[in-house]
Amino acid sequence: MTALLELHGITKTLKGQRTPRTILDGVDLTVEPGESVAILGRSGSGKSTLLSLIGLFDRPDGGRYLLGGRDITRLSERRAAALRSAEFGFVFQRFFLLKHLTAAQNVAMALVNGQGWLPRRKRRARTMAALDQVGIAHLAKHRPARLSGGEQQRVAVARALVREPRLLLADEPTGALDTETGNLVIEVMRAATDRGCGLILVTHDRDHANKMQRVLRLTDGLLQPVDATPDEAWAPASAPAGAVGFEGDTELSEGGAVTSDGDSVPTTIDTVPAASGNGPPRSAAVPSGGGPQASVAAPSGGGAVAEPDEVVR
Amino acid sequence: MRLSGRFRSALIIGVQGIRARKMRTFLSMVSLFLGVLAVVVVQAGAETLEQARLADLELQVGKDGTRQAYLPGSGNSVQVSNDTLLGRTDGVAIATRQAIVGEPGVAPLNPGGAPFDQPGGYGPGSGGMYCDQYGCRPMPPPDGTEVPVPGQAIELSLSSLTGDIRRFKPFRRVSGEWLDFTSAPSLAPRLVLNLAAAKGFNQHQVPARLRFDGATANPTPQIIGVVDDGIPHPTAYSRADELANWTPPAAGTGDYGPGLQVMMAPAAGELERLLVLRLVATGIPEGEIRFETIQARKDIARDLALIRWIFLGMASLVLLIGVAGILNVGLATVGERVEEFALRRAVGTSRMLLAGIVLAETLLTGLLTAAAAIAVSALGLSAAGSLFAGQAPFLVDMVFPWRAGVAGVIAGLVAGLLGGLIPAIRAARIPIATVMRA
Repeated sequence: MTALLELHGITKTLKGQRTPRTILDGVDLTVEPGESVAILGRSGSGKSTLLSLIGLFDRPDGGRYLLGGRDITRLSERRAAALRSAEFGFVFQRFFLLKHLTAAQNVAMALVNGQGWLPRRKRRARTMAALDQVGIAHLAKHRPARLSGGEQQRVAVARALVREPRLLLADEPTGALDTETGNLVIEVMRAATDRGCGLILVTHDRDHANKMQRVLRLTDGLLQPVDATPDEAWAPASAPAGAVGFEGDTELSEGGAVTSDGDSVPTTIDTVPAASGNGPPRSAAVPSGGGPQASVAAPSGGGAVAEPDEVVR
Repeated sequence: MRLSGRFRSALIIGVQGIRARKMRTFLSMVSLFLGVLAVVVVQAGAETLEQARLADLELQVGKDGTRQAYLPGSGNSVQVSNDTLLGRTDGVAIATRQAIVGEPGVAPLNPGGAPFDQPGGYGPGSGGMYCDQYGCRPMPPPDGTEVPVPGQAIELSLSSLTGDIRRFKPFRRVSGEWLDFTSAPSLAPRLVLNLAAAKGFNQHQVPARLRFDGATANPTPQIIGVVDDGIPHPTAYSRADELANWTPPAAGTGDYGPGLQVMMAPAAGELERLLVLRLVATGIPEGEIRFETIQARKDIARDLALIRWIFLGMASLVLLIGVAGILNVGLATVGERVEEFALRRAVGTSRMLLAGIVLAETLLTGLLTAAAAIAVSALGLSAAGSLFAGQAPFLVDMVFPWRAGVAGVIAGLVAGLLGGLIPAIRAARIPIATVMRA
């Protein structure tokens, strides 16, 4: 079966500064249809940059990007826009609803983007279906100002789902929501994976990450797997002493982490050591059984593209 | 289909943007309004002026495209022309001679058919004519012995018509009625006066006796109407067949025949050839029969073009100020909508369409402004027609010229395009990752 998404040795360096800064240093990632993946990482670790590359907001400096087996590493702006419309749905931390439009119009804006034309009746039907999918069809005529934060984010999710994308990209979608509302939004997005839609969730919230089928952490420009079950997995592998590892409720310090509730969290993570030399990449096993197949592989050497047989499935 | 989808998308989003920012749209319209209004007014003014000038010129010279010829009035040319064109609608012969209405044997009040507000010799045979029981003849020289005394008589040009000349010269009816060419000819020739002649008859009481060269008797004329023909000297129009009752066929065959003018419709080529052949047959050399086409509009266009361009230049400057206004508002709006545009790109809107959305908004603003400017101009013209009908009669029937409307729409669109171009480019360049960093 062709993977939904494959990243091989993706690199990205920010050049606008005196000293170029490598954000992604050979990221490998494979996501299967219907699979949900959480990506963790410290602030500034490159999570959003990775998501913007996956969402074709930007181009990688190196590596290969395959979508449904097709190489889309170098796309024209026009083709990228068409793919963003057809293949991806985006949910952001801030809801980005246009205040002058109703909830339904905000959702429909993803259908009125010049990528094919739907008659008004069909637009309305799909919009209402998307709103119904996230449970707020009754709020279709409300403007954002009259909606709660959770309702606004669900409108944003409906907007992301209205074109029935193959991959949903969510960048800290619960960051501005309380826990209960955040859970609701996560559930709505997870429900989309039941219909075969892939989900990549960038989050700082471990509970939300744990609801994904696979959890990865972006450290030093590389994606590494995290054993998703034990709490100790939530400490960064190479966090500097005293560094703040995650925004949210967990503060990291040398030798341990303390949550905002005062609970102690071990900082050691049961992860597979990074690949070194020319040896095979070390990868984390992902949920087995009947679930979707997914893998993450650290490249050998200096960010070389991992061969398919190097990826542990 | 794809282009159509993009166009529709841009239009829908543009309308949403305008509705969401009514005040800004209004401010843009205000800044643009004067510029578009200036263009509309200049164009409407130029059109009005052109129409007024054209109407005057057509009144005096003839309608654009009319074929006309001045022919020698000697010999049988008048008779042949009358016979050929009588009852035709696509051509008319006008034989003009001096005539006097009033007392016999006296010098007319306006010797030579001069206008009544310009006393002194004037016009054809500036010495004037006088008529007695033996007919009309030119006034003798001042040193002559038989100088008639001035009396109650009015000299005028008498034009006999074979048909309705208004098809070729749009005379404006002032009072009474025009000549009826469908009824039987009257023994009392019906006359329609022009304004200059009407002035004389209004100022002076003269006996109703019509005398003209070649007439066998002095018929009693019936003055049935007054028209504005644009001619400054007294003139009367009559049916050729009614005058012919008093003129034997041999009349006018001398050296001093009437002035003969023929006017024909542009499509009356066959009739023109027939007339030329008949005239040549009477002995008129073919080289003396030259038909020319009236090009009134072309002559006016040349005159008005320079004035129009000067005023359009001034209007364009005003329009540029309006463009600066819409540009200013547009840039501010794009600055405020950075996140919206980045979001739209995130959901698949291309840079081109994003630019198209901004342009659609400014173009719609320009169109709305143009509509407002056109409406104000049309109302202004209508009001001017009511207020200044006395000074400028042509304003009464003036319809708002459609070309001014088109100029206004074009000005609005151009202003929208110029004012929206830079904001559109800026909107298209907004990095999509803005939504990720926000």
